[in-house]
Amino acid sequence: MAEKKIRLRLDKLTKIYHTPEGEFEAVHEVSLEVQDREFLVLLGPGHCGKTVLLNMIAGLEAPSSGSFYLDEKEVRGSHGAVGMVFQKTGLMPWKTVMQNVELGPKMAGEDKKTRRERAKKYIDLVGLSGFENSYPSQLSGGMKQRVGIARAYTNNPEILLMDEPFGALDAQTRYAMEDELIRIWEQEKRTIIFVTNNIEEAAYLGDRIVLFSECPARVKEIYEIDLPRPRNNVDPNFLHIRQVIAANTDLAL
Amino acid sequence: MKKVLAFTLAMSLAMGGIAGCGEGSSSKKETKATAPKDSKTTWDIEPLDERQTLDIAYFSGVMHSLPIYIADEKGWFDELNIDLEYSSFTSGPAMMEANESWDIATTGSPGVLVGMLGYDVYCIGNCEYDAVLNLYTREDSPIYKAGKGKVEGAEELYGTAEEWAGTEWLLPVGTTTNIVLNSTLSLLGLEDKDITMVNMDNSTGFTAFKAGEGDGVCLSLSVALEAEKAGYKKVSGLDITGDLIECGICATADALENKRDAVKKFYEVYYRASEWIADNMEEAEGYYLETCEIEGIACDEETAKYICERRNSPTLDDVMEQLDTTVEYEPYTKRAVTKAESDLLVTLDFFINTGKYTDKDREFVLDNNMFDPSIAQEVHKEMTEAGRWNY
Amino acid sequence: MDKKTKKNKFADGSTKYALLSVLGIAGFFVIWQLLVVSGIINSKYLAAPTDIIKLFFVKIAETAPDGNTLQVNVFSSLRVSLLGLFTALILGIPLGWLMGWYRWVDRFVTPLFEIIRPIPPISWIPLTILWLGIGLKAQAFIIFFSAFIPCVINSYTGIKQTSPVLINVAKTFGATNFTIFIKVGIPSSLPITFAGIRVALGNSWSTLVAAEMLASSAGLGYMILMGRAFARPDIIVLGMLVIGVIGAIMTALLEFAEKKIVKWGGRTR
Repeated sequence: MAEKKIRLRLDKLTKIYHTPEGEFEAVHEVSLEVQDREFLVLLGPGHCGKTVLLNMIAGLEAPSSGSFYLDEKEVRGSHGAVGMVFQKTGLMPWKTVMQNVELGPKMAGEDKKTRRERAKKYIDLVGLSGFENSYPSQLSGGMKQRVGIARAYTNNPEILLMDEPFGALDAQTRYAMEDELIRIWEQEKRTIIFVTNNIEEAAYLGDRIVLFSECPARVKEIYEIDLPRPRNNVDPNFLHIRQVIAANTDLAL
Repeated sequence: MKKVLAFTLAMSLAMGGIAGCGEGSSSKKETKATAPKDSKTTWDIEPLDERQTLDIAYFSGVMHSLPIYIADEKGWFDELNIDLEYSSFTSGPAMMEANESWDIATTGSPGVLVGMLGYDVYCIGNCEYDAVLNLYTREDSPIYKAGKGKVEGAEELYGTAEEWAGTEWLLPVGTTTNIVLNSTLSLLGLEDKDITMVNMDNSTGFTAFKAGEGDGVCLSLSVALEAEKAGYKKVSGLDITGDLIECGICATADALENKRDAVKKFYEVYYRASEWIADNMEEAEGYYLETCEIEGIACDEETAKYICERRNSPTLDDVMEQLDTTVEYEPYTKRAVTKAESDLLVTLDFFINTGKYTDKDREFVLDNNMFDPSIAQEVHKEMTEAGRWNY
Repeated sequence: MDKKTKKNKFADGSTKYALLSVLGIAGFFVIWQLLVVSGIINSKYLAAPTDIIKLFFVKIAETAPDGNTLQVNVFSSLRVSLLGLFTALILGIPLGWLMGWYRWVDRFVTPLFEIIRPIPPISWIPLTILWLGIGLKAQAFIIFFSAFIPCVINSYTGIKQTSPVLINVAKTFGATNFTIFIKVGIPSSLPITFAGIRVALGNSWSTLVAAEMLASSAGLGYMILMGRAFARPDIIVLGMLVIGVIGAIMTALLEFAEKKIVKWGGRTR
């Protein structure tokens, strides 16, 4: 097997919140290696700290202890090397699709021509050409999430973080978006860390699945999914993997 | 004893500024038992058969409301089975607006006119002639520095047209003080447009003047004296221009119809009280101080003395004479105009000349006999028949 | 307009609603006119609409009883109230934004603000005379007060409810707190801020009469005062109507401006 480069290494990342009721540990000593251009899925029951973990990688929250390394360099604080797609999308409603997508490079100071070109490329990539001047209020949920993905890509991030991006969509749209995402990822392979609490989705998308325990989040097990894409979710191998994982999860109902 | 209407208070608060016109304390006088008919009353007036209440619109801090206060304090209304209920006002027009809530009012001529023209209120007698309306400047004003006596016939008037032109004056526009200012301008050969007038009431205007606003301020009564004590210089005034500005007793059409007897008795007591003041000046000054305190108007003994000394009020006899005498009055020839009416018309003419009222308004006042002599005449008759007419 | 187009206009309902509004106002005036003409309301206490309309045209040339023509009064009032309003917008809105975004500003300013807030603009009059004298500045100050409070409160509330997701988005792009304040906080607060401007506009225009009681020789409020001093209820009503109409026009202009600036339909989620 070819040597896979490690893009991101997490070393015993821990997050403890200090509340009036006492200390609350959200993430407990998570250590992980993320390979270059892999599609890594973080799977776990709801509210177990996955988002907190992602926030720490994105630099939105500081770890209580532990550290992480991007290309073997330790990173602290918010660093702009990630593109993040949020569940609630977070499109600026007063900006058009184009203005939203180009937001990252604009804040970084890139000149209009280059950034617009790149933004256009990704708007096309996610299948929204023609909607550059629309406002988010004019788009459907799925379309908005696609803008979110285009925006994350346009920022030329080292790593793409996706926090349950399809969680708010209906099942039909969700399936469609999963396919879309794979299509986009295969066209332009980037390292993706994808958080979900949906086993089917995890199995459908990921190269590897990291299974987390209930709160506080601890790495329970790591699964390698060796199935070719596009995957068939009624394929017996697929279903077998689902069963195995399901048996192992602490399901938070 | 004084009731204060909410909206009047709001107006007063806004207009009153720091020196402020206050609200009186509100306590109703206990209704006393009905006095028997044949017991002796102070002025030999017969009491009413049944106890009745008269609602009075009381103008705060002025001489022409003083007789009411004194008479009430001395029980001269009570012994006639008349109870008084008060509403305080600091402006004539506001008083007239509220005419639904009172029967009798005393106010300056501008207020009387508003009542006649807008609210079916009748003037039933002249009760006073304004005495203290002065114009003040600062010591360093060119007007004061120019000295007095430059204008013929007005030895105490300071300055000439040159110094007066272009100055800014603070005063309540459209009131009697306005008349004095305009008369001053006439004496100097100037017109309204040669100066600037800024509309502010007595106390607010004085406060602003002290803060450095305006070149001069027009003030009346106790505020005028405050100005003198503060070192400001009087450059003109009512006594210099010789204006005759009357204040009147008014009654609503409703009161004249439904409370006529009470109104007549009030009328007689009012003038008796007014005459009493002339004979008992020192005691009257004490009462004046009291009313100022109650109404929240700044005053002291010296001021009370000054104002009371200059009081200029007709007796009932004078009033009857005014009603019997006719004068020549060019603008209106449909009937003879009495002296009483013509005193009021001085103010109306002033307003017509300055474009505030029109000739039609004059016609209305005189055609409809808004100056109603009937109360005075009936009182005179009753007094003569009962042998009380001792003038 | 051919019949077909007319039918379509009615079909979509917009003409129907416009008609209702017109009927509402027209009906009000008709009833008013009838009440006065028939004598149910004494014409001395309330002038009929037809008289008011006549007076409107007369007052454009006639200066009685307040000494100014109608246009002079309108201009004077607009000057005072817009000066007070714009000062309030320029000072109040940024202050609200800063208070809502930076906690230390909030802690510092809010106690003082909460004490000043309940004080009615009118009661500032005596102090205003002392500090600003009389005239334009003083009157504008009173009006400033009435407009300032809603500006601050609304821009504060607006920016405080900035979506945390949007803030995080900006953070992932490496934006500083100040950049997020300017590029995310302020734009997302605009709908609520504009609601505050609308209130401020209404307040400033309606505090006008009180401000002009301070010391004026012109203005619509002054005109109403003079109408009162000289038994001219028709002047009073004319003044009130003009104040009302101008207020409505200003609100419409503000809505127009808002539509242009807040293009995205006003929802921040």
